[in-house]
Amino acid sequence: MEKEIISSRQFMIITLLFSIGTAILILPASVTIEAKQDAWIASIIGVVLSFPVIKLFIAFGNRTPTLTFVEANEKILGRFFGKFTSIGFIIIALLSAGELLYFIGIFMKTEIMPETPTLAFAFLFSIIIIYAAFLGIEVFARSAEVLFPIFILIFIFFIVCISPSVHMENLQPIMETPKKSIFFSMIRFISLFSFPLAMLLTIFPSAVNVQKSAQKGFYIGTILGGFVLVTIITLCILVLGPANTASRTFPSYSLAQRISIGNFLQRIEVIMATMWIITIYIRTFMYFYAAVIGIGQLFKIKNHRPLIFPLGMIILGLSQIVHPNIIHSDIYNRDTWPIFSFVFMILLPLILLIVAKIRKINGNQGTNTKSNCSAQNESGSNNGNSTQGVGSNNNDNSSQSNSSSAGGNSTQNESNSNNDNSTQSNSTSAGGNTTQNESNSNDVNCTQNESSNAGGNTTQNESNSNDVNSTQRDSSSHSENPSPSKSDNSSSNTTQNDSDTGNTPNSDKNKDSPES
Amino acid sequence: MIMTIFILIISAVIAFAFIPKLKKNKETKTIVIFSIFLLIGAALNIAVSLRIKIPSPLDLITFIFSPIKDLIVSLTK
Repeated sequence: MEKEIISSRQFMIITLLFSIGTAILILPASVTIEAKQDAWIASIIGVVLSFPVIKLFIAFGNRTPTLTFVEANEKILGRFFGKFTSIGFIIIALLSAGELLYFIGIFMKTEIMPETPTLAFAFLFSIIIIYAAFLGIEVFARSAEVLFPIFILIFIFFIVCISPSVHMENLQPIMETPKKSIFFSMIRFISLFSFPLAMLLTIFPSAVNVQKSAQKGFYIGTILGGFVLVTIITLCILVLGPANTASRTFPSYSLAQRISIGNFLQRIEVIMATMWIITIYIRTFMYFYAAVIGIGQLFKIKNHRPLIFPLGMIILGLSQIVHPNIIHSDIYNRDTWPIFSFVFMILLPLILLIVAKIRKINGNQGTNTKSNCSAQNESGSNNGNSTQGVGSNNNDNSSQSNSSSAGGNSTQNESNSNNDNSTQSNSTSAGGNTTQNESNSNDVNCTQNESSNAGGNTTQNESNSNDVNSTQRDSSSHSENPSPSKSDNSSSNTTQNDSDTGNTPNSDKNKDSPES
Repeated sequence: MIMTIFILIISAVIAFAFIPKLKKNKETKTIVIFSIFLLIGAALNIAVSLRIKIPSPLDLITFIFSPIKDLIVSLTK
C-alpha cells in the first residue's frame, strides 16, 4: 500500500469540518430538549471538556506514531484481543457511515424533495464517497481545503443574515434549568462533537507530515468547530426559541428559512444547506475511510482499494435499514450513541494508552522538544508533502548531521538537545523502528513516513543526510548514497534492537514497500 | 425485480473489474475477502430493494448497551 501524506493545515481543516459534521443538523434539537434556553451553556462546557479528549488522542497518537488505529490495536493488545477491538472500531465506523447516508437522505426527503425516496440521495451521495475513497486521502484533503472557504463564507453570510431576527429575551432566564439536564445535554453534545474525532486517529499520527503543528491543528480545528456549533445552537435558541428548536427535526434548516432581509432576500435555505452537505460529506468520508483502512489492515491486505466498492454497497444498504424512521434515530442518538461511542472511541484509546504504558511501547522518550525544532516544523508544514518538509528541516545544518550519523546511536540520542533536527532524524532512521519511537515526536514521523517509502532502514539514513545537500530531493533516489555511513548505522542498529520489544511494523512496511 | 437484476449486474461489473487484476498479482486472500464483502453488499441491497424487513443492526447495539444506560440513569436520579 502506498503511503499517503497530508499536510498539517489540511488536517486542521479536516478536523474542523469533521467535528461539525452532522452535529450542525441534529444537535440543536437534541441539546435543547433537556437544557432548554441554557443549551448554549451546555455546549460551551462540552467544547471545553473536549480538550481532555483530544489530549488523550494526541497522547495515544504519540505512542504509536507510524501506525493507524487498527495497527496500534494489534501492536499493543496483541494479535487476538487486538483483532476484537479492531472489529468493534470498524463496526462503529461502518454503521456510522451508513447512518450518515441515512441522515442526508432523510434530510433531503423531509425538507427539500418529499416525493423522492431516500435511496436516491443515499445512492448519489455514496458515489461521491466511493469516488473520494478511491482517489485516496490526499485528494480528499485537497477537496476539503477547497470546500473550507466556501463553508466559512456561507457561515458568515448565514450569521449576518439571521442576526436581525434575534430576540434576546429567548435566552432568559439564564441558568434556570437544573444541573442534571445541563449535564445530560452536555453528554449528548460531546458524544456527537468530540468522541467521533477518534476516527481521525486513522490518519492523525501516521499520515500527517509534521506532527507538532498537526497537534496544534487538532486543537484549533476542534475549537473552531466548537465555535461554529455553539454559534448555531445559540442562534437557534435566540431566533426560534427553545421550545420551537427542540420540536424541530432539523432546527438549523428552519433557522435558515427565517432569513428575511427587507422582505426581499428570502428562502435561501438551500444555499445554507450547502454548509452541512459539505460537513456531512467530510464526516461520512472519514467514517468510511476508517472502515476501509481498518478492514484492509485487519486482514493485512496490501492494497485497500478493491474493498471500497463492496463496502460502499454495504453502507448504501445499511443506510436503508439502520433507522426505520426518524424517531428511531432520535432515540438512538440520544440514548445509545453516547455509550456506544464512549466505549469504542474514548474507553478503547484510554485502555490502549494504559496498556502501552505498562508494556513500555513508547513513541517519545526524548521529550526535550526544542523551540527551534518546532519553528522549523512550522516552515515545513507549509509544504505539501513530507519529503519537502524533511528537506526544509535538514537544510540548516549539514555538517552536524553527517558527523552524527557516523557517530552511532547512543551519542545521537544524547546530543538531541544541542543539535538540530537533522541529527534527530538520522538517529531515528538509524535504529530501525524502535529507535524511531524513542526520539522526538515531530521529526520521527517525517522520517518514518519517508522510511515506508524508502523500503529499508539503513538506506534511509543516507537519504536524510543527503537531503541536507539537496533541498527538496525525493527520497526514492537512494542509490546515490555514500556507503560508509551505511555500515555505521547498521552496526549500531543491531545493538539497539536487543532491548526492543518488537520492530515488526517497520519490517512489515519494508516488505510492503517494494511491491507497492 | 428489475432492481435485483440491476444490483447483480453492478456487482458482476465490480467483480470483473477487480478480480482479474488481483488474480494476476496472486492475492488470494484479498480476492476471498473482496468476494465476501461484495456478496454481503449485494445481498443487503437486494433485500432492501425487495422490501424484505431486516432488523436494524442498531437495535442489537441498543440491546447490548441498554443495561449500562439504565444503570447510568438510575445513578443520576
